[in-house]
Amino acid sequence: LPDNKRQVVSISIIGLPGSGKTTFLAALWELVNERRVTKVLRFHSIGDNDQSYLRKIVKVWRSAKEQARTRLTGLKAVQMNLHDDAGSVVQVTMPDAPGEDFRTMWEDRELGRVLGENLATGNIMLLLNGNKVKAPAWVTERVAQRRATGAAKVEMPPKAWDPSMAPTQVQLVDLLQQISHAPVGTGNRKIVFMISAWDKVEGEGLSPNPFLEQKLPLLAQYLEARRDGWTSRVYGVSAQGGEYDGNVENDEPTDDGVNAEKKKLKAGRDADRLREVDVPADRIRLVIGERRSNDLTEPLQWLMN
Amino acid sequence: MFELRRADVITILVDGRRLASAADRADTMGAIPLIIQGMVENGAFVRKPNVAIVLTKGDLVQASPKKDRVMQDFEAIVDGLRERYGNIFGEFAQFVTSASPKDAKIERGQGLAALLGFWLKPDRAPQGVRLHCSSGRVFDRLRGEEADLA
Repeated sequence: LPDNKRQVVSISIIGLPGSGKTTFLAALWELVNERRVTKVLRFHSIGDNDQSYLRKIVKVWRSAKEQARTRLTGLKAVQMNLHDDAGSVVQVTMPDAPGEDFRTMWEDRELGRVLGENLATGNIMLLLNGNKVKAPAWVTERVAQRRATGAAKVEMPPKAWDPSMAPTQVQLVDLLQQISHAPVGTGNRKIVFMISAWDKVEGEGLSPNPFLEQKLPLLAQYLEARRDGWTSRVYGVSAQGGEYDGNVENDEPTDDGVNAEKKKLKAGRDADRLREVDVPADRIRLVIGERRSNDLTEPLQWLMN
Repeated sequence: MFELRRADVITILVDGRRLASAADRADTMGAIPLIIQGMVENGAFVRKPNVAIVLTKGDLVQASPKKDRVMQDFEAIVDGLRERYGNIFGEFAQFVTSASPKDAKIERGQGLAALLGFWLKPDRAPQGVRLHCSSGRVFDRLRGEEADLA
């Protein structure tokens, strides 16, 4: 397709380690290629895009296995040529950066040149693992709980504070502030929050927006205050649709093989069921408000327009 | 790639063992259309070859407790290719073969005769393209009766 007929859009996918960025990309690739599922954007062509990375991660996704940590493979360029019902073709660029790079922005105040260029402009998709979010805890409540259970008081030596101990929402708000201002980027952009592992948190009976307000109040208030001009949407996503198998590749090697043994035991509860789903893309679940679908391209289209 | 450009028939092999495996079935179904897409975009099928889609290791498929699902997945692959590339290829045909069955009760080479028959089927008349060029020179007038270039 000639360049003048093709719209080029860059979307940055950000998130801390283990937030599900790679799983999301793999599920998106499966979805856009699946003709039997309705969606707003579909695969158009391979063109001059190198799709070896997408090919690799979608293979892992299809076998219902955990993705290899991006920390081990580094930043990967992802490009897809998609088209909508009206026939407009768009080339979407979504680099898949290791979550450790975003953590480094918070902990060490450092940002690599390539990632910095990606974050400078364009809209943002932020993934956060809903299953790792812990509700704020109060010291007085913990003390009352200990007294009620009659547990003995344990004296712990004081531990020096480290930036890595900061709550997830503090790290995310700082990350968003950094990319909203010079020298990293600009404000007044669109952002989609994807609360991943939604199958694990939906049991709480909350839809995505109230989940954000209750579990991540600092982040919700930062968005509401619109200090940096973010226009946002919040989705719940289960890109695999359930609990899948672990990946031995992610283990740190040990001499005694303890980790390998541990991983063998970590068989996903839903992995067999997921592998049996007739149309694999039907595993995907997306929630916005009370509405449910499996169309991961809908938030993408909102970010493009 | 020139072999593909010259081919009268393209044969796509779908591994029956992988399609029967829970871990590999989704990848088997998803990978094939993109392999064909890459070839289409590179102009491999401009001659509109016929296409045979073959489910191999039919003996293993028949022995599998999931044989109905495997056949359903195979049909989905064929339907998908037909829908996506119906105008790229000539005739579509599907086959199930057991080239070298592990079970002695199953006929060796089952399904291959039909596949060979499809390969040997007379090709449709080649679609020649008649070019009408005019260079504005006297030579152009020498063209008398139009030759059948097909």
